[in-house]
Amino acid sequence: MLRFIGKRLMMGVLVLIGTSMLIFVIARVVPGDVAMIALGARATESAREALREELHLNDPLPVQYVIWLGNVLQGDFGNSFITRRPVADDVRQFFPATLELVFMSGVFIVLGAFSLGMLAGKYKNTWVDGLIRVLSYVGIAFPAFVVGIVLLLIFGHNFQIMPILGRISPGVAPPTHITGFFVLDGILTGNFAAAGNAFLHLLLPSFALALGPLVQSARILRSSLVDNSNKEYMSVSTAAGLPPSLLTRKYLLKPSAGPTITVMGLDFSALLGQAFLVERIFNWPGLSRYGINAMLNKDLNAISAVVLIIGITFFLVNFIVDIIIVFIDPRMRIGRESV
Amino acid sequence: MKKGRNLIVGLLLAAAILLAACAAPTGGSGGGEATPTDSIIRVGISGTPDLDPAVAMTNSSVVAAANLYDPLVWPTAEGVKPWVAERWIVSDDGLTYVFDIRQGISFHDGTELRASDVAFSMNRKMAMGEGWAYLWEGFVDYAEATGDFEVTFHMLKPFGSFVNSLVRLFIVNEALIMDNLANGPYGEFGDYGRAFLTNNTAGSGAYTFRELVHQDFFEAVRFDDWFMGWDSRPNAPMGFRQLAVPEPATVLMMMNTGLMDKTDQWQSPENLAAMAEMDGISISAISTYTMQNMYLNTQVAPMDCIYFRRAIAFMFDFDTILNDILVDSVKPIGPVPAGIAGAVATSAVDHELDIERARAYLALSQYADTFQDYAIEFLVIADVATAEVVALTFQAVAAELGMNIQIARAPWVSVVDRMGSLETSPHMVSIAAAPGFNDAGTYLETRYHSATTGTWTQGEWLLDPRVDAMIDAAIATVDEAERFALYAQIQHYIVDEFHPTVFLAELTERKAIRDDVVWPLWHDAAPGEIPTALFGFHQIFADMELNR
Amino acid sequence: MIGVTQEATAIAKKKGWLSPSTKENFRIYKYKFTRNRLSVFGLALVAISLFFAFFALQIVPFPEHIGAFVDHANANNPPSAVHWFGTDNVGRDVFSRVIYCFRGALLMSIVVLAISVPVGTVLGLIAGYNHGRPVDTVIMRITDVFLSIPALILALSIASILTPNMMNSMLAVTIMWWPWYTRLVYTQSSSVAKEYFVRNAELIGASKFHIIIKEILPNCFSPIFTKMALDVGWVLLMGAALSFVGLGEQPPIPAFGQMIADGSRLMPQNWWLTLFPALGIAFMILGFNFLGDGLRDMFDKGGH
Repeated sequence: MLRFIGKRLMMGVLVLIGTSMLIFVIARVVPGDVAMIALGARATESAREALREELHLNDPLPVQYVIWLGNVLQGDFGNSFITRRPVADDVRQFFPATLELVFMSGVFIVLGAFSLGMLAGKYKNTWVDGLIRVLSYVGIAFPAFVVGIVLLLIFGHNFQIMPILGRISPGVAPPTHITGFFVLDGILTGNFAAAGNAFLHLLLPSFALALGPLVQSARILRSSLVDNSNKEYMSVSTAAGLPPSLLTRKYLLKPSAGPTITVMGLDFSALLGQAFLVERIFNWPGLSRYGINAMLNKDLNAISAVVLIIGITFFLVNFIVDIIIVFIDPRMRIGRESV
Repeated sequence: MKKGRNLIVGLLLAAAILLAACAAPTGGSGGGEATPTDSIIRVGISGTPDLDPAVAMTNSSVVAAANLYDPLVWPTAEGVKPWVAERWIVSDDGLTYVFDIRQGISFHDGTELRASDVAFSMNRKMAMGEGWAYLWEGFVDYAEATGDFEVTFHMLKPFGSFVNSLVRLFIVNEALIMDNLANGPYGEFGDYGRAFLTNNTAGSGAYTFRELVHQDFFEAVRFDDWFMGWDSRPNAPMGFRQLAVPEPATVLMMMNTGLMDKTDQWQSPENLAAMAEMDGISISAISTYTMQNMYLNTQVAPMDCIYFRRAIAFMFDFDTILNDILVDSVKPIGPVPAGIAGAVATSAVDHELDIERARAYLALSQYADTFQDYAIEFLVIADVATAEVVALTFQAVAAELGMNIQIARAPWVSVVDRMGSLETSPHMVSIAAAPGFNDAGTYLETRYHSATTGTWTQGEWLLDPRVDAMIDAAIATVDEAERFALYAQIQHYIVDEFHPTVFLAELTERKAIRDDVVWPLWHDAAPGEIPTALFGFHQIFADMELNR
Repeated sequence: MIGVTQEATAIAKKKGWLSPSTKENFRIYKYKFTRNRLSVFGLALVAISLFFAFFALQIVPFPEHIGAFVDHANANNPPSAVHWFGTDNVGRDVFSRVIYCFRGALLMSIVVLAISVPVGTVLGLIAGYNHGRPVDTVIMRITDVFLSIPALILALSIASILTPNMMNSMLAVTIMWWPWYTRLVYTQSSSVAKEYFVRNAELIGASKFHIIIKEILPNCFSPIFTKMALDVGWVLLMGAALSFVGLGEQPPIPAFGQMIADGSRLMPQNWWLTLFPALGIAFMILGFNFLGDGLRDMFDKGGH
């Protein structure tokens, strides 16, 4: 087991080094005069030259890369061209909001997928199953940003019962900073008013983000459940008189969960991607909104930082998913170790 | 099973700790009590400000600077009035300016503003070379304090409207900045307080820093010891909050639910109409001497032929533009906005939609037979609702004449980037430009002098030595009447000999505003009149009133 | 040589790797495909999408509204008998423009897949056949690098640095799409490469090229085709996301994402500007997804 984890980690580090090269090429080689982009055309030539010197733009590319990577490893991503302060500060400010959003979506996906999937499996080929199937088509067909716009419209305009913008209402002070997750911080510091307010703000954007992956995971769980319930050991166990709840939990759900969890892990990448648009729509002050602004404004240092951090997060999540699956389904261990 | 579950829980915990470690404390966004929202004014604006007045150039930054810092002199319709400087004299050769500084002005940290702070502010600006520094580049040699309350500016060459330009010199607190230097390229001055001023202010203005959450909002509160005093302004807002809101639908909802008091000027006519129908909301209209230009790149075929450019000027539907798209805007008289000192009416006033005249000019052009073969790129700034409508309207007219117009949308930074070199500059791009201060000459320089090619204020690439020489000579002329005569000559010359620009509109900025906000600049104007103020000085929150 | 191939084919058929004769095949495929009513429905949606894409200019009521056209007098009209989906802020017919969007969306999917599938497949075949050798490691690690960042984010960052237009958005999506096929084909081909009909061919002295093309590639076809059909929907989404933030087709040529983004600026009062393009893209995505599901059932050997 440890060998498996170690091997995966080592491979991950190698891939991340490759990723950093790719990001460096995108952000530094492609765009043109970085100093012009950073300072604007009105800056004097000496100001621009100073920036070129600071970014080592006059050095050969490999040297630039090594310097950049060295700085990145020390947590120094350079200064943002837009906010004009260290990108690392920006990331610290914005990342918790995105994590909170994605985490909440994850909760939606796990709860929703398992409850809908089991419901559909239990009542297969009835109207319940049919309804869930239709829902899944809606989830597939409409991109998260469209779902977001629709939710914004319904709840922001037609029924003003839910907060729709940002992380917390303007009149409510954010809770004292501990983790950066407003809901969690609110609970930890006993500031339940802020926690509740932040939680309400969280619901719509995270639901917009979760809908697609949720219904698709539910469908996958449903078909695994149906497949496995046709297997011999199920009928044998039923005949042996095992209680149905135990049967479902231990012998049906466990082997069926594997593929669902794998897909959920992959969905996470889509989630991080879609967050780029959903955060923009809900004015959610997260890393993704920061990232898309950076991209649209060619804020190169910020782009590389955001993409790299998301790459690392993505790797960590897949790593955790792999380990969870290995634990749930020991058969996978052999196959995965040889990868 | 049990064991497995424990390990999963353990892993999740480990992950949570890791994430928490990433999320170490951030500056600025910590706890603290919120200001009661009904005593501060909340305005929508594009982006959060850069608080360093030596760098400030964006919309939000320029407005913030005028409210957080005090300038040396204050702009008025007639010229400038004393502010931090009480009086000034200029030497006969125009190379030395001496300013007497008002006593008793207090910085936000309680220290007194002195002549040395003024000299420091100018030298800092010139050394950093960003923001408004270009106004003085090549003119100002250095500044020095020649007394506790007397500052002397030494010039490299005469600059006729130098005093008028000093509305953009905001005074920063030297001691505070020197105490907060970080490493940087300016020798003993380190980074000149650059990093410090991203999250603090060092001014003496009416409002002082409270909280900045990048790309979210900036909030400032009243500075009780402001030298102008608050006694005569009992209802002035206790603070202001600039809200960075990108999506128009969002702005609409915030206005509707009372989360915002005033929008930015980029709302579409459709959205403004929708907001006008909401309870307690009106549409304000003011002007900031901003010219909506259509830059024509004079160096690229087929736009390098003056007849072709003349034809273009008769293909814009000014009626639709001024009535339906840039609503309430005014037909320009020439290159310089009409209210600016030294502006004159030129032959550009004749421009109107006239397909026959356009056709006639096309026939005169050296591209009479070949212009159909060119793909003419028309660059449009994304997120400016009206820019694309203007482009589409023009494209439809051009199609009638067989002209192939390619519209391309780009975010602002990309537009600036592309205008950086002639190779990447588009054929046409529509950009709003405003004079930095009340003077036609400096504005003409930023628009047409060869030194300003490659900046977003000149997409024409005029590159004409004669124009350069005329502008240089005019700006250096100390006598006002003589200077204005030279300005007039330049304006006629540029329009008649080059015709490099179509002047689409003198922009009227329309913003939705809640009725419990009094904005004297707009409320005091006579019905039908569009009040005008220099950009940045049009939103002085200390002059406003909140009646809640 | 031919004999070897035939023998291998026979064995492969027995093992279920290759299928029986074409005619026989077709009947089975048709049965499997049509058994699922949704896949037939999907095929119909796709057929309609193709029809829209090819004949957009012939069937829409206002073809001139797709290009350089404005009519300020008729701007912002809600849906009516003349303008089924209403008009936009410069008076263009939304129905005509939505139908035209099918063309760009389909073109994008075709171009992206036409480039990324062959490239990804060839790399996957090379890596799979050389399983365990340095070539394999190099190709698959590069693939891993591209797969290490969520697709949309990589595409956005590439597209944002290039000039925003249709070509560059297709380029950006293509750059991040091939690795999926490399990985798919790699898994498939590295297992096939161990099969004994391939070993046999090697023994006889068949060239590497022959083995890869004739022995290994055919075994990868069904997963590739299934994935392609399902991927069209993903490429559509990706393209819509790019054009939603302004990194796709430039005005006046419409694109789904661009129309949704422009429409959302006039929400909620001009709801039709957002709703209909959103339905348009849903129509296409559903069609290709149902079709993809059908194809998967069709190629499914299990037949349950």
